[in-house]
This record gives sequence, structure tokens and C-alpha cells, in this order.
Amino acid sequence: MHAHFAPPLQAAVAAVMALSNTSSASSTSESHALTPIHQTATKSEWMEAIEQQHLERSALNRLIINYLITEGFKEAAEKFAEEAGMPLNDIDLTSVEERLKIREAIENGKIQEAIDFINKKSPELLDQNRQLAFHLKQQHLIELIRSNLIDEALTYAQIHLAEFAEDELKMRQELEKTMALLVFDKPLESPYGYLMQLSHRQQVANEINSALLIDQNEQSESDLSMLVRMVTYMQDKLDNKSLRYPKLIDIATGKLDDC
Amino acid sequence: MPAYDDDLPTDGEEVLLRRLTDNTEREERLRALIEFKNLILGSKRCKAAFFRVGTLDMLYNLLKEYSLPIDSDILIQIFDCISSFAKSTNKNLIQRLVELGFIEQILLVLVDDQQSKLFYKSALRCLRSFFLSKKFANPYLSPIPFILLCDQNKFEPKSSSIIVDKSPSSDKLSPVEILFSNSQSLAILHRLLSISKSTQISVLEILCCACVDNQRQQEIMGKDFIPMIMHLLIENIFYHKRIHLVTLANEYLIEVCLKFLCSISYENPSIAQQLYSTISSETNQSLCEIIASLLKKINRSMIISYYASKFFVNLCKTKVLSCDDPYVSHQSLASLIHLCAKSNQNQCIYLYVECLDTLIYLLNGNSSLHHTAIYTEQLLSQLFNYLFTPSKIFGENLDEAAIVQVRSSALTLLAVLSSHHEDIKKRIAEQENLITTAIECYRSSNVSLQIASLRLFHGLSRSVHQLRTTFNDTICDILLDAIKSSDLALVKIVSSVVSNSVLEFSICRTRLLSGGILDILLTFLTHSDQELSINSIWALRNLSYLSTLKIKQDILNGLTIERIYSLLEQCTDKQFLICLLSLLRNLFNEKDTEILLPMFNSTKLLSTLERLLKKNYPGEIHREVNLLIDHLHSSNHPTQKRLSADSANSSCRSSLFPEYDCDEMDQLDCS
Repeated sequence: MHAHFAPPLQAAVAAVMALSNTSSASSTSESHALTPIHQTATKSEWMEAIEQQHLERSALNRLIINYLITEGFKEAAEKFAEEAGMPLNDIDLTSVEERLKIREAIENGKIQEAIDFINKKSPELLDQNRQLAFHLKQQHLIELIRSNLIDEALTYAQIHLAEFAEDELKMRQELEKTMALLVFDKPLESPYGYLMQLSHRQQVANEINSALLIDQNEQSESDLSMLVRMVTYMQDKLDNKSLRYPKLIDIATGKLDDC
Repeated sequence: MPAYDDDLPTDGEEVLLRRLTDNTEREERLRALIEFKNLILGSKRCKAAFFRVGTLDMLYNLLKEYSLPIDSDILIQIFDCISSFAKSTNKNLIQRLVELGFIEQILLVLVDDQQSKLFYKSALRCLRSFFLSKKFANPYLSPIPFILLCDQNKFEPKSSSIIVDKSPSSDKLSPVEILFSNSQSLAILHRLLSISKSTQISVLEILCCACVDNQRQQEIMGKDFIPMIMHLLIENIFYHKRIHLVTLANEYLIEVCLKFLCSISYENPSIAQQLYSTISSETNQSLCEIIASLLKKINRSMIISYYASKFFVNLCKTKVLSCDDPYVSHQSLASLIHLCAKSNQNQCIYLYVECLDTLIYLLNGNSSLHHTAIYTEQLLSQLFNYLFTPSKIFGENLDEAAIVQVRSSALTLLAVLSSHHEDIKKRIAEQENLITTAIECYRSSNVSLQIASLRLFHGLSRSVHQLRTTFNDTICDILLDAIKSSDLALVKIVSSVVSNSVLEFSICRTRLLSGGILDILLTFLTHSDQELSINSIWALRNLSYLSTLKIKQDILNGLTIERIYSLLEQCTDKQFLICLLSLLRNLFNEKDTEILLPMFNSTKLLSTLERLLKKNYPGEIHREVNLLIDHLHSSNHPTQKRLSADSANSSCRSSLFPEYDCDEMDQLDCS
């Protein structure tokens, strides 16, 4: 069971309110659209408005727990919950652990092991999500190429991946790119070298993690991710209206633009 | 057919199979099963290859071997494997699974109530895969082919429906039949409802698939599932409200509960009435109130909104709720329209198709809702978008089949909306590009688009104004082409359009006649399909109305006097007989009676009609006969004032559709 705490979105609302807290004289979008560039507030006014937004620490804690649980960081979640004094009674930690095992297996390149874990946890997933099945097998092929097991890679592609290429054009194109790695002496430096990057393993791991959450009827994205995207969306909206405001230019550090 | 369908297992896979069959050591078998499972899950090739070498039989033997006593670890792996096979699109494979008896064996092991939650979850998941298989699609859950109804016009011929054999009796090996052949099945499913959320979802989805006809619905109803399902519904709604947030597991359960309530009430007035009267002992609310509360929530899931709306639609169609009941007209209809109009490319397009089809189902025959439906133009403009530019709404990567479905559903809904009110007909017909697009849809190679376009023409053909304006030569040629089709469904629909298009004021009439429509209609009179034969006599009747002598003579020459007498004496189809009598009345209008009546031998005709009066026919037939007799008497005695149809029914002479309320018709000069 995934933990949802009420209401994590209030934090988003607070951030959005701070973000969209434009000058009191212009409260309608229509009037904003008429002015070419409108200075909403100085940075200090902005920061003052932000300070006035009430944000409970417990809400922030819940956001963090939610992120850790969703991403599968069980130990971190347990530690954090302990330090924040928050119960994790409603959370199925076994499920979190399973997802973590799967993520670790993929990120370590042990794809067959990951497939085994996935099929144990969600036996219907790979049948219902063909793209997922393809990406896992593609990753296994990449690992074989990385280990320079060329014959094995060719056999594996023929037996386990050809069917996907037959079914869908996009998958065929992906497979062709992967097979093209075999042609290069240094596949990592080839145009398709990105497939060999460790980040590609993470990409697959994230895809699997999201799919597992959906399959278990849980939220596939953490509230924190959603909030960050909401902030980006709101900033785009304000930019489209040619408003100047202290823009959040670095999400990771919280750095605001001077305006 | 994909190339891998011919594949056989590789050498390594053969070795694995031998490990499964030859090695009887339990742990080794378990390992082999897990490896086997990992091979077939997500692989169509593996499934096809193993099927070809008889692996299903081997799995069945293993299932039996480890069922007594139950070895749950092994069985769980077997269930997962079979579940995967059951998801295949290979019909032979599915058939083999059913023939072997997997369903019966799974039901047998489910009798044991001492197993783990994981065991039941796995077994039910496997069972569910059979029921959800496309091979055994429940017609009650699929998009509904339909007859275009006009609730005020009882005299119009039926247009075609693609008759779906809703009875599963033709397929004794269907999962539904197997389920019901085991007297304990429903009790087992009922027991398993309390195990976990996962088993609840599986059980409910199986029950949805099992509601294939009224009899099966009643059997399920008899096993007292409703209180449990109401409890599940309330528990999950309440939980949802209490924590203020969406938890998807609860949402999904609400969805399947609603889906079940829709399935069990579909086309079943008695069950619909029972559900309407059901009150929750937990909250003291009626089921309708509970479901209606789901429609009021702003951030509701589309699927919940859809099934909640569909539930009220089912109650309306079974006459438990009237059209003007707020649950229907304000909540359900508004929700469905809102769902159709919602642009969200991330949502499954088939949900939009379901919404459209449900609107078709609701609005067909309920014309009092049509104006409400198009009140804000929101629906109409979205339907036109679906029809003209679906890729702009759903994106460019949509597959062809999905585009066809959404377009044909949109066109069919437009057909329904245009089937009754003149102002709506006009609004739709005058939409730029609509008629052109409908013509293009007919000319496409896709049968559903062709049928949808003909349905639109049918809806529009119910208007004098449209017959005078919209039905141009191009549409005439389409009708002439479609009526010669080898597809019976197509022919039946177009015969309904033709029956209206041959009316005297239709601009299509001449072209249809010169295209040989009369001969075609005459051949359909004796068609084995009853609807088509009625449509053809209807068309002849309309053709004869206010017609020239030449056309009347052509009709008589084609029908022949002997055949008319034979039909009058022997025809048992009441609707056919009414049409035939009306046809005769049309033939014998004032100025043509003296020429045509002698062909019949008036004495013989009168005595035949008097014999009809003595038969135990409904009042409508007797009325027609009396009118005809009076008419003939008057023609025999010219000085006697003819008892005109007007005096019997003032609308009859001026209106071709006695109960049809149409402004244009009232202005017709029929003198």
C-alpha cells in the first residue's frame, strides 16, 4: 500500500501561489495579456510573499517519504521516517523492497535476474506491456554486447527479440540500432553509444519501476516529481504572458532569478 | 500471420521441457517451471513454439498431479504460466486450453479454503485471463450494434442491426458455460471476495464477463453478491474521502464494482429495478445516491465517471428511470458528454469510443434527451472533430483500427441525433463537410464506416426537408450501390434509407427508379431475412403513395395480382400485412381505382378482405382492412361519398407516418 498523506499538494499550491502571486493591481489574465512586459514583483517582495505562505513541516516530510517510497529507497524511507517521527504503518515495505531489488538488478546489468524478480512480483506485467518486455530484453542484449559475447548476443537477438521487430516498426528500429553496436570496435563511441551508457540502465529501471507501481495500483510518480513539473508548467505559463518574476532557475538548489 | 507462429522450441527450450517432464523431483520441477515461466511471459514466440509441441497437455498433467494434495508453490507457477498462455491471440491455443479442462481444474482447487492469499490471487488471475480473452468476448460488454429507433414513429421499418448471438449456448466450451456448469462456482467466487483487494478485482471482472444474458445475470444475482459489492463500493469511496486523496487501488475497486453493476443490470429490467430499490444498511443511502455521489466529485477518474453514468443509462433503458429523471438527464447525460469532450491524449481512446457508444445507446429511442444533449454545442463540435480530424485530438500515432472505431461511433451518434427533431437534423446536415465526409466514409473500405454513414443518411431521410435538399445524386448512387451489396447488414440499413427516399417529394426518387430500385425491392419481398422483406414492402408502400399510374402499374406487374392474393391470405407477419394493405390503399386512390381495380376482380378482393376481418388480427390490421373496404365500396358506388381516410384519422392522408410529429409534413399538400 502506498502512503498518501493529505494534502501534499498544498505545498505545491503554496509554491504556485508564491509563483503566481502577481501584482494586486492586475489579477486577471486578460489584463496581463494586454501589457507587453509586466514586472510582477521584485525579488525581495517575492521572497516576502513566499515567507507568508504557510507550510507545515509534516507536509514536507510526507513529500520526502513519498518520494523515497515511490523510488524504492526502502532503507532511506525507514531511516527518515524514524527521524521525523512518522509511522509507516500504511506502507507495504515488502513491495518497496521488491522494487528496489529489481531496480538494483537492472542498474547492475543483471537483466535476467530482474526479469525473474518482475515475473515473481507481477506475472502479468510483461504480457500486458510489450514495450516493457522489449526494453528489458534489449537491455540484456546490450549487456551481452558490453561483455563482448557476440555469438550469444546474435543468438539472443534472433530468438528473443526478432518477434518484437516483426510486430512493431518502432521496436524494429530500436533493435536495429542495438544490433548496429556489434559493427563498431568501440560501441560506446558509436552514434548509438548512448545505449551502452549506464544511464540507459537507469532509464530502463525507472520505466520498470513506474510500470510496477501502476500494476500494483499505486501512484507511478512521486508527488515531489509532480510538484516540480507543476512549477515548471506554471513558470511556462507566466513566461508566455511575458511577465517578469523571480524565476526558479535551478530546481535542485532553489536559486531564483533576479528580476 | 507472424513468422514465429511456425517456430519450434530451440534446443535449450527442449532441454527445459525435458526437465519438466522427465525429472520428477519437486525442487527441480519448481526451478524448471520458474525458468519456463520466465521464457513465456512477454514472449509470443515462446508461447507459440511450446504450444506446437503439446506443452499445454504437459502443464495440465502437472496441474492435476500437484492438485492432490495441493502443492501451492508449484501450482502458483503453473497458474502464472497458464494465465500467460490464455492471453494469447491464437484461437487454437485458447481452444486447447479450454478443451483440456484447465478452468474446471482451477475451480476444483479453489474449493480448498486453507491456502494462502498468494495462491488465490494467482489462481483467480489465471481464471480471469480466460474470461477476458478476446475469443470469448461478452457481447454485453462490447460495443453494441443497434437498431436506429425513433420512439415517436412506431411505423417505420426497422433498420438493420448486426445481430449478435448473445446466447453462449452455441459454444458449450466457453468459460462462462463451464463456470455455470459447476454448481459451486459462484459460491467459491463469493467466498474469495473477502480475501484481498486483488481477489476482489479478479472475481468482479470474472462476474462482469459472466453476465452474458438475462438468465446468467439472474443466477449471479441469486447468489447474493450485491450486498458484498455495495459494501466494497462504500468502503472504498469512504476511504477515498477520508484521506482526501486518490489511492489508485481504491479507485480501481470502485471502477470494477461499478462495471459489475452495469453488467448485471444491462437489458435486465427486473435486476435494474432491484438495484434501484437497494438501500445500503451502512449508510442508509440508496445505491443510486451512492453512485450519483461519484458523479459530483470534481477530480473523479474518467473510468469511474463513465461506469457511474452507464449504470443510470442502463436503468433508463430498462425503463426503471425515465428520461427526465435527474440521474439520467442531468447527471449521466452531462457526464458522458463531458467525458467525450475531454481532450486528454493520455487516456485510452477506447474509453472515448465507449462513451460515444453509451451515448448512442441512451439517446437512441429517447428523443426527448436530444435537445439537452446538444444544448451547448459542446457535443456536436466534438463529434465533428472526431469525425473530421481525429488525429488532432488523439495524436498522430494512433492506429488505424482505433481511428475507424472513433469515427464510426461519432458518425453513428450523429445519426441518432439527426433521427428525430427537424432542427437538429438541419443543424447536423448543414455542418460544413459533413455530408462529403459521410460519402467518403461510405466509399472507404471499412464496413463499420460504411454502415455508420448509411445510418446517418437514414436519420436524415426521416425529414421531408432533407429528402428535398440533401439527398442529391451522389447519395442516390450510394444507395443504389449499397442495396446491391453482398453484406446483409449493409443492405438492411440502406433498405430503410431507400424506403424513405422513394417518397413522392424526394429528389432521389427519380434516380432510384431509373436505377432499377423497384425490381430490387420486389426481389427482397421474399428474402429470408424478415426485416429486409418488411423494409421492402414498406418501401413499395411509400413508393406507391401519390404515385403516377405508370409506377403503380409497374408495382402491380412486379408484385403480380396472384401474389398479392396469396400474401393477403397466407401472410402471418402483421407488420408486413399492414404495409401491404396500406400499399393497396395507396394504389386505389381516386383517379386510378377505375383502371387498377378491374385487374383484381373487385368482388374477389372484397371477399378476401372480409375474410381478413374475421381473423384474429390486431386492431391496426382491422382498421386498414376497413379503410380499404370502405374505399372500394365507394369506388363501386361513385355517388356515395367516399369514407376518406381523413374521417377515420385526420392525419392519415396527409401524413405518411401517422404519429410522426413533423412541421414539414403538416404543410404537405396531399390533395
